[in-house]
Amino acid sequence: MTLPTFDLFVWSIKKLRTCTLLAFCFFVSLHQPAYAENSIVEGWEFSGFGTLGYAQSDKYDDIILKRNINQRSQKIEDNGWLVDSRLGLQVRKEIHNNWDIVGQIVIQEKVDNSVENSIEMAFLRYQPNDAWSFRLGRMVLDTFQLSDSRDVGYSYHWVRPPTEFYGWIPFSHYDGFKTTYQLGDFDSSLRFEAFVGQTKATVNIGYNDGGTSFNKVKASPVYGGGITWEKDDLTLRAYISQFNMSEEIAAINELKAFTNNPAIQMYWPEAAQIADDYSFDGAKILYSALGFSWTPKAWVVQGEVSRVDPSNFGTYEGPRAYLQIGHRFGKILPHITYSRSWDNRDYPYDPAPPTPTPTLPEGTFEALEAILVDNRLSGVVNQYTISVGLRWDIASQKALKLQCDRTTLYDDSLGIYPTPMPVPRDWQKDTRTWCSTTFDWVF
Amino acid sequence: MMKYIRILLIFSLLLLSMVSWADNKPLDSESIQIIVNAQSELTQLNRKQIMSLFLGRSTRFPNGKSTKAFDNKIGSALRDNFFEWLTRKSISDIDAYWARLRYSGRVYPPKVIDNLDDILETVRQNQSAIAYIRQQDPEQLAEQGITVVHTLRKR
Repeated sequence: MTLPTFDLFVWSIKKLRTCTLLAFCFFVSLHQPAYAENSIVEGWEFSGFGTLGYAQSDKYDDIILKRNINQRSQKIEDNGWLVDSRLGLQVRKEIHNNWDIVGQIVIQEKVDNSVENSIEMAFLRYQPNDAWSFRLGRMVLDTFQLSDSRDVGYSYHWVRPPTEFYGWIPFSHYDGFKTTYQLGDFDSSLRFEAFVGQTKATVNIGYNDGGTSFNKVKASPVYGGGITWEKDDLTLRAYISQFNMSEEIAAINELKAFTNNPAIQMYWPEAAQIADDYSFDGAKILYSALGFSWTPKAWVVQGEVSRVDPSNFGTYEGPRAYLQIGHRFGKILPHITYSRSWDNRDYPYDPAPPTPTPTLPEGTFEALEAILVDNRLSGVVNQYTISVGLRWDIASQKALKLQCDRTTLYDDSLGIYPTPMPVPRDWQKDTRTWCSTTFDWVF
Repeated sequence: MMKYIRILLIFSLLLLSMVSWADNKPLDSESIQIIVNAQSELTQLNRKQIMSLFLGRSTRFPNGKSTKAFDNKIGSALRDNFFEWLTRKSISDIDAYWARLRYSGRVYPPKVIDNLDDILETVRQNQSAIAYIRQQDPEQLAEQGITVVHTLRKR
């Protein structure tokens, strides 16, 4: 029996994690005799980063501020200091001239805070020369300009990267293979990157805690590539990647179980079709992004535009953009940011037929339709935010930040910030303001 | 209103707790020399080349030989002045730049060496080394097999 090429490709990707572990063990065992006179623990570089923060996550009764959809909504609502606080620890060891291994664990609030899911990096790298680099293992996703360092608060000026742009991204790392080719001189450099692997995450879209509100999302394979050009104070970056969703999420499974009821299929067959359109399993999501950073003298100007194109209905879709301008005055850096996400999709299906009573209880179709319509809102991010912030570098590698975000959420924009409203949620355009503060450091 | 008071209170407490960490070091008026091993066959480097080598953008000297940069103690006046004079940016921006590269696993910053004697010894022993020091007598450095390839001064 021969496997279709794509299946073989997927199978290869799934084997990558095992390969990584084996490769890691192999190189550690190789390393032992080479440094027999030293301890195995010698030569490791330990470093880390941290953020201690507080955000007004529970300021409003009808909507909650979240950093990203991986956080538990009610936990965040009750504990404003959990929104941005986190601690990262990193180790690295040069095994040989051209080989090194890097590991990183980040402790932060999220639905799945298991040790395995908290490991953001665990890879082996081979750099045969200045141009080429090959990595195998777990790596942070760098689909967007800041996505590979969004946990490292000290590395940017915001309290958190723009939520419209970064808050909805479920994945932070992947297990796989990455290669980089870099060329250039002292004047400018050009870097090409390509990766392939698999990834998973657990998200809490909506307000409820547990059950089908906690959804595991898996993508295999994921692949993509990008190009980065750097010259003096200017960096330009383009990236494109595709995520092939490989498992159904709990909420859609529950929906399908209901719409597949024979009585419902007999009188309203379109309901099952709508549930199928929402399906994640087998969906392909294309992310494309263009970003820039320009830091002439004391100025900081950076921005990014992106598009999300899914093949299924009801998940995140559409363009996003942000622009930040700041100026450093000694140890103080005030900045202002505008970020926007567009999503003007309507619910494209016909209204439900009347419930056939007494075959089905009165109101069955109306209730099911309300759920089907409401499900769409979990993928809508149609909003903009104007952020004003201040970074104060109070000491070496330590910064205090204060930021206020004024967000206008258009109708139905409940894709990131959840509401305790019961289904059917009816969010009408409104504006909210949240302030946050953090202390960021690296060590 | 209580929420605003709470956020201001936490911000103030953080500030107070950090006061002791604030460094009030005056800017050095001395020059800073960039040094390499004499056997690297280099006689001088320009500012752009030094910037590339110390910001992890290049790992080769202009003559094609492999190089490895060494840094001074984090938080020292010498390090702050070196990067600020070299890049004309705040040391905080440089540290933020390195935080991004290091913690995304992309590039590691130059290895830190805490004192002058160890820096000089490292450059003496290592043909690919490049480092920076407070101003010394170039002739005495030359006697030790060390070449000054650039001198940075406060602008």
